[in-house]
Amino acid sequence: MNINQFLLLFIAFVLAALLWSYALIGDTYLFATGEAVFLGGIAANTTFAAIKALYEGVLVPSSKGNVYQILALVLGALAFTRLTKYRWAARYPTAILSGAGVGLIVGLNLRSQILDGITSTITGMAQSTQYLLTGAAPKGFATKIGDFVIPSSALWLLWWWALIQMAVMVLTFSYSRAIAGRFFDPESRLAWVSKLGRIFIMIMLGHISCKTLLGDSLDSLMSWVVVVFRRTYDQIITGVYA
Amino acid sequence: MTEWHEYIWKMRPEHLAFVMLIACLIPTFFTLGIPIPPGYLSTDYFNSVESIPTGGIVVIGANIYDIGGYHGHRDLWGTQFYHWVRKGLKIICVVLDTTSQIAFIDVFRRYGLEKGYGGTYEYGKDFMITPFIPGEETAMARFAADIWGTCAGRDWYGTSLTELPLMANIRSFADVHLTTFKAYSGTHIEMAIRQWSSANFPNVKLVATHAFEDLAYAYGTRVMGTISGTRGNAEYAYMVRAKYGLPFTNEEVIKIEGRVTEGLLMWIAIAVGFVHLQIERQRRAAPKVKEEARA
Repeated sequence: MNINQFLLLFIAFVLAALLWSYALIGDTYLFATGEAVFLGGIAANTTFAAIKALYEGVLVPSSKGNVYQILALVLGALAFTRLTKYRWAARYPTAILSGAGVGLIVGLNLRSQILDGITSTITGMAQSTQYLLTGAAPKGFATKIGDFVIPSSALWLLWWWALIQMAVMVLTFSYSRAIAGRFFDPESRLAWVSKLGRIFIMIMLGHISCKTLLGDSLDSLMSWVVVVFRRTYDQIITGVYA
Repeated sequence: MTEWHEYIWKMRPEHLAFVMLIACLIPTFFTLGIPIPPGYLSTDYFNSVESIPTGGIVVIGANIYDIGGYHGHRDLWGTQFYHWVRKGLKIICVVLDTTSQIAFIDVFRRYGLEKGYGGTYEYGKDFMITPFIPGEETAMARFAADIWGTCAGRDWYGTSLTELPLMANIRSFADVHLTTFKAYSGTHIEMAIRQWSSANFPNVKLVATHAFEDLAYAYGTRVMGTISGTRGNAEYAYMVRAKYGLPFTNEEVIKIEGRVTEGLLMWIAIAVGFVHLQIERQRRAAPKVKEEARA
């Protein structure tokens, strides 16, 4: 490790300590300094990368005759009119981006997130019933977790559970008063559907909260310890700048 | 006199945080050797990579927002790239944010994969890095359909793709075998599932490094394996080490051991709290029993 590398290592350690000071002594100039250096560095890098992308992706091809690339440049520039009194012009790049995005997403989303889900649930129901009745698992039907073989009756019940969840969630959260209105009307005989839907949503949110608040917090602490202590220790002991 | 369980019960959060820090530091410096048997998600990921023939094309996209996304998990990146290199796969690195190129350049050099840095892989022949391609999902869709057009015929360094032997026979994902995506949000893996999976290109196998719940709906059909969370990272490292050997200390293994010690400490804290509450309950109930006996 040469002197420059050692200095970089030392600066990195100091910056990490400055940012971590927030946890110990709150929002002070120490934390603000670390935060400003971090954001400034990212902003500088992003600016250079964007300029490079514009140069390589638009200016160079345009200078070689691909003038249609200039259209993209003009559209991109229109986004900045939001900062001027001609802010209406910013609607055009936004509309084009949104339109293209929706066009790309809708069909595939319908297929992968809704139709595939319905298909695999119904297929799972059929396959688990066949497995329960005949004792032979259809090809590709998962019957094990690791080396543990799940009993066919348990699998059948699991797929029924999945079917109920899917039906309830699709009915309850269809965002349509015409379709889902009666499930949310307390007077309705079908109000239990939305209650069940809420229970399923709470189970899901509980799982996500537990994972995010507990699991990810523990991961962050461990990751921080490894990055700050282990790497610094390794570099000082081995002398290899890594 | 304060009893031990009472002392722990009344510990300040700062003191508990300090104890937690010590629990993390132990496996950081002393490997505990806790066995981590690989689960089916990581095994599927490993097997999917193994199923690609030597010389097959891997496309890895990255949208990591800032370089910290790489910095914190670089040994996982190192393990993945090491696995592909040992399998002899050709790698196309797709830069979908303004910092991913730093990660791609670093991973080949840091882990000794690139020629001149202790490895055998040659830029342009065995791997390449695209220019920054803005546009998120729109860009991903276009890249899959027309790699050359999306890159404007150049790589990250401004070299024409015609000068890169690797790109001679690659035009779209019809020529690609394995795809994967680096991002730390569920939204991005959904983009990959829509644009970079067998949904559009039946020849492509998509594998992920995301939490299973982000992609459960597509698992087994569009996503053919995932490395899910800290445990998944460690499991994958174990599998690659078992088959190919890993020439570096894997931080992901250290992290999972840290998770175990953290978890153990939490369970101890819960058990001590339970003991404390039971003792307090008995202590409160004791005089009442005596009074009843006197009566």
